[in-house]
Amino acid sequence: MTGRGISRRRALATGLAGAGAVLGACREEAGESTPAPTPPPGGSSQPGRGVRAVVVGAGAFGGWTALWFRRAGAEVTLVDAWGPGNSRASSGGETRLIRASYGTRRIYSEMVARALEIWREYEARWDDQLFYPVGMLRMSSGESEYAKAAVPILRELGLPVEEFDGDELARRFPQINPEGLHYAVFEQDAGYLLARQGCERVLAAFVAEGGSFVAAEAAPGGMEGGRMRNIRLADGRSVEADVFVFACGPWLARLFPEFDPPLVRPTRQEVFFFGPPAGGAGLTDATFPTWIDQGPFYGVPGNRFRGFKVADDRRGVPFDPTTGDRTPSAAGLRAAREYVEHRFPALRGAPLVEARVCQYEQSADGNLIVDTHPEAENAWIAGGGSGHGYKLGAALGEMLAGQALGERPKEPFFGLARFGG
Amino acid sequence: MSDRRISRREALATGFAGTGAAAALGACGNGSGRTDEAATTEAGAPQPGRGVRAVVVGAGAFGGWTALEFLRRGAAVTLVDAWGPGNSRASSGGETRVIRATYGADRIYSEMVVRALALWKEAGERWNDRLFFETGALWMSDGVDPYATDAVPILADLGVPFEEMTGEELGRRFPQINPEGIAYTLYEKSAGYLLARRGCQRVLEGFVVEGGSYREAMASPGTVAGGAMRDIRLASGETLEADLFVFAGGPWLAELFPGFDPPLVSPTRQEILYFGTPPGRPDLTDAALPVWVETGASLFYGVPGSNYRGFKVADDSRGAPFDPTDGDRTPSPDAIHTGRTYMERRFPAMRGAPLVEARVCQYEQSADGHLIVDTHPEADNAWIAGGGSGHGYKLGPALGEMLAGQALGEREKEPFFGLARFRA
Repeated sequence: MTGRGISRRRALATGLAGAGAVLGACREEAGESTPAPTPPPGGSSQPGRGVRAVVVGAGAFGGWTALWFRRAGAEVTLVDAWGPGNSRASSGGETRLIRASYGTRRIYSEMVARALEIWREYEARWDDQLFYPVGMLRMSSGESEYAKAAVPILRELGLPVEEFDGDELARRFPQINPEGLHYAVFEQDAGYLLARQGCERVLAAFVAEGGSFVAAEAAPGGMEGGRMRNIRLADGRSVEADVFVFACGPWLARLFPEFDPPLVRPTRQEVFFFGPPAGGAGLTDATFPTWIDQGPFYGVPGNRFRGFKVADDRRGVPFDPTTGDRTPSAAGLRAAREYVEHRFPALRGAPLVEARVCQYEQSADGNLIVDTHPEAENAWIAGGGSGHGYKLGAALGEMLAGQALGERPKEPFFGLARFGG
Repeated sequence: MSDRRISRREALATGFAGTGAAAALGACGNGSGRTDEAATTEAGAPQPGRGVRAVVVGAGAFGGWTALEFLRRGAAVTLVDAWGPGNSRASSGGETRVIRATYGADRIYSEMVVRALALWKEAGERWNDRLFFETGALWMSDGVDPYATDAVPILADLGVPFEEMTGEELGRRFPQINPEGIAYTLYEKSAGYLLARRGCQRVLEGFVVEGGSYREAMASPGTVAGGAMRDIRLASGETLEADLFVFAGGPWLAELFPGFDPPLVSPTRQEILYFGTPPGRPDLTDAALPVWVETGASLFYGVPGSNYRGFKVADDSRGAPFDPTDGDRTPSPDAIHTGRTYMERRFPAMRGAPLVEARVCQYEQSADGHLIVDTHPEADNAWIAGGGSGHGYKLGPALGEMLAGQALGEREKEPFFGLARFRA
């Protein structure tokens, strides 16, 4: 902490206030050498030195990518229409599960293992707890292929995991009504992340390390000769750079309407926080893990004293992330309450204490998109979180910055080619 | 920060595990191992609390800060809360709170705000987190509002910077605002907003890092004998003994102490709405727009930005009676309609803005809207701190300092906050 030139708080107070001034500074400084950033952990390689990067979107994907670019020595401008983890953003909201079990999709398990390392390292650096390692319990009626397939992968990655039958589940977690549950996988190193607070921290670190933040709506600018030249801001200004990243969550399809299928389809999702009885009834994060109940519900206990969070993971109706009304629905609340009262009997009659309406930005196959635009090899698209992206942000940022700076090959699994052509 | 023995993160990982509470309590009950540690954190400060065991019930803005101030005076302190600091039922929950020194002719509050603001800023530095956002505050009214104008000489005297404006000037200076019907505005420039629940969490973290003990449990007053309280009872049946007790129970005070008439507090249902600003309109965020309060025919206030949550709008009129434990906190269509109607008139660029978040909270209204900081009539070591009445949060650090000083015999009681006023 002591090695930093300016404190996070001071960076927040100065760097984030005057967006226009920051942008001006960025443009004027283009080409000049910027103050030496803190060297990246474990080395002083600076593959980004002399590179001007623009990242659009200050959520989990864009924020971390901007920070990794900055740590690689690039001169980085991060742009967001409403700010990190704002209430419309897919990285908004309070908490997110982080779990490494991903069926047979080892690539995600590896990313989660890496993301956990990064979160832990940065928590220590920032002296702030953003990851709550309460574990994750995946419960199902039988030996779900998805759950079971992940077990050997997690073990190989050194992540402790246990399997239970229904009786064992009932013994270990008497808070749960085990009716209909006959198999569970308990991932010990999983837990939850503070979502919007994590985005704020990443932005503050980015600014403290010399990055520029601009609060503005942005759109892709001119492309020619297979490259993008700039982005356009809503006020008519443009920002030139060598590398662009569009990490625009649910807005990606609007920014790049030329894709078929659309890059993402936003769906309306609801999140409910119920108030446990006084003392917690064993249902706070002091004693209870995060959980996924084989379709369709999942939840996070505690949530930094907000309550017992429950959400329906099934994809909702199409949703406009800019103008969509975020009043929770009576039907959504009723379904969540019915589920909670059945599965967690101590929450019978628990009051609703908070609620959110958010969106998933669903890619056509539910997997991430991390690839260059077909017409601009220096313009990257990062998105398609599809309801499971947030936790991956720290690792995605590292991967994408490495790929864009020529240090790592592209990852075909996340490529646009899979959608056809 | 570097001289701290354990990091905040480590304290969180160990001290908060929740159920490790019994161990933490043991340390407190056994006396003073922890007081030595606290003594070194404030080197040179007097330690009137040395050897004193204090129990504080309620980890909100009042209780949390009081516990911290006891600790810094050398006491061995246990802080107890049923659901945690700034939880979703607590009156210190929610995301943001206005902090302003304008308080009509009640100079005592203006002085407390000046002190509280300094302490909030110091806390932000100490804990490396931004808890205060200096946006300024606009008091808009349809006539000359004595609540604002009576404060003017006090603000001047305390060195709080301000300007007075006509409605026309307001419209010129802040073109985001439709000044229709506004005759007078007091612009308090060093005001702003605080992060509410996050502030409570930071206070608790600081408390634990500095050696305090925290327990998550429902508590109630215990045995009173010979004019003193001996202990508190936890829902588990366990009791905690101490020399001093503070009940900062927010909306639950009347339940904890049902013997008072009028009741210590009456909780009312209040709704908070966050609307989404149009893209590319930083003039509608805290980058350019102060927090604002409108008095007169409409009683609304708001916090632009709210740390990227949206444009917060709340009706300050007292709502229906509310049960803080079991009350349902689903926002009502009526409140959304009323809030939207007000906002769209006063801030025309917000027309059609989507609702992005909402909260239902409560005010814990004292009979006269003023704080209560006094000892229980039957126990001179049991303090009651509450009656925030919708304006208490910001005062937390100053109240904690005052109350800890009073309870440890360093300061006189403040009659303005005394219970005697209700018996007259």
